[in-house]
Amino acid sequence: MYIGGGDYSGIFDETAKTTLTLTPEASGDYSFESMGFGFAGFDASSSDPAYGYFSPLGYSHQPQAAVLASNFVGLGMPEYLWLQLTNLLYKVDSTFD
Amino acid sequence: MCHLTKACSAYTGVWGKGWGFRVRFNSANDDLYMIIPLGALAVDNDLNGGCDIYIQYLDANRNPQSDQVIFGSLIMQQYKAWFDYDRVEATTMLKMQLSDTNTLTNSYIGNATITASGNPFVALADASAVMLIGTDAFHYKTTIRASLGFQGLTTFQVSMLGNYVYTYADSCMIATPGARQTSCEDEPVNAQTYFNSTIYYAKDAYSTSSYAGYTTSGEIYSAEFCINTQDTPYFCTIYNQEFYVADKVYDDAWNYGSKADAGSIGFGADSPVWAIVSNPDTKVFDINMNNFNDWTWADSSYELNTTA
Repeated sequence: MYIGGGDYSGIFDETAKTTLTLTPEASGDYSFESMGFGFAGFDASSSDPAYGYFSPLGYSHQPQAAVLASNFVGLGMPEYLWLQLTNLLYKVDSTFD
Repeated sequence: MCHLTKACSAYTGVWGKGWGFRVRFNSANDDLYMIIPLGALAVDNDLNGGCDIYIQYLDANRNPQSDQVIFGSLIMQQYKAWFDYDRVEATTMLKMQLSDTNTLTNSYIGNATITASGNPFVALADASAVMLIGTDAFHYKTTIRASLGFQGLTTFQVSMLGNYVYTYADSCMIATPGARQTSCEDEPVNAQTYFNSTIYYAKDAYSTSSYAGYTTSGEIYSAEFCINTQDTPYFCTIYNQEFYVADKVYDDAWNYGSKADAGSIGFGADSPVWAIVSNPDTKVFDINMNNFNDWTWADSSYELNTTA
C-alpha cells in the first residue's frame, strides 16, 4: 500500500492495462448500472469474454451500490439479494449442496 | 456464508466453467465492466475439510450500509487499485486494473461484447417435491409455505385450480364501501400484509378483480417464487414470475372473518408455480386428504370412519 504524494507512475501505469475509472457517489459508494451472476466463455485468442449468460441480481428500478471494504472478507449482500444469488448457486451444479 | 462439503479443489468443474459476477458501474469509463470469478470467493476450510464460499448476507438491523453490496478483500486482492484525488476540483476517482501477480483465470476488465447464451442454470425440470402442508383445523383450510421475491417464507392458502399467485401489500387496506378503511390485517379479512413493495418495481396495476374469494385491486410485480418443500432447498424459479399484490380488499365473500394468510397460490395449469419445474406439458400433483377426516364440526355425534 502506498499513501501520500509522490510519483507512482512506475507502479500504477494507466497505459499498461485496461484501467477502470470509477467516481464515487457523495456517500462514498459506487452505484451499479447492473450486476449479474452467470457464466462467460472466453475467446482463446483474445482472452476476452465471447459468450455467456448473466442472470440479473436485484430488480428493475432498484438502486444498488457497492462499498469497497478491505476489512470485509468476501461478497456481502442484503438478505434478499443473497437469497436470490443462493437460489442460482444451487442451480449451478448438482454437486453444489 | 455458503459451505460445500468437499475441498474446493473437488469442484474444478465449477471454477473452470467461467461462473462469476458481471458488474457494471454507472460511472465506469468506456463502457467497461468487470467479471469476478466465483472462485475468488472460495476458500478451503482447514477445520472441516470443506470449501467455504464467502458470500454473506448483511443484517440490516446492525448496520445502515447493509442494504448495499460489499466487495471485500477476496475480491479486491485481484486488482491493483488506486485513488486519484484532484485537490483543485476536489474530486476523487478510483482506478483499477487487474493485478499483475494475483489475478484468477477469467477475471476481466474490459468492454467486449458478450453474445447471449441460453440460461445455464439447472432448472428443476421434472423434479418432484413433497410440500409441507399446513392444516387449519379451525377454519378447515389447507396452507403451504412460500416466498415471493425472497421476502421470507410465510403461509399462503392454496387454490388447487387457480392460475394466479397473489399476496397482500404491507400497505393493504380494507375498502369495504361505506366503512372506514383499516388495515387488511383487521377483521374481517385477517390477512398477513406480507409484501414490502419498496424494493421492487411494479410492472402494472390491476383494477378490481375477484379471485379465490376476495375482491381486490393492486399492482402486478415480477420476481422469483419459491415453495417450501421437505427435501429440496431453494425450490424456486430461475426466472421472475408475475404475481398480484393487493393493496385494497373490497370483499371477502368466501372467507369473511377467517384468516386470509399472506394470500393465495394457485396450482392450476397456468399458474407460475409450474415454472419451478420448467412448465412440463403434464402437470401432476397428488392430494392427500387425510388431514380432513374429522367430521365433528358437522355433528358432534358423528363417528370417525376413515378407510384407506
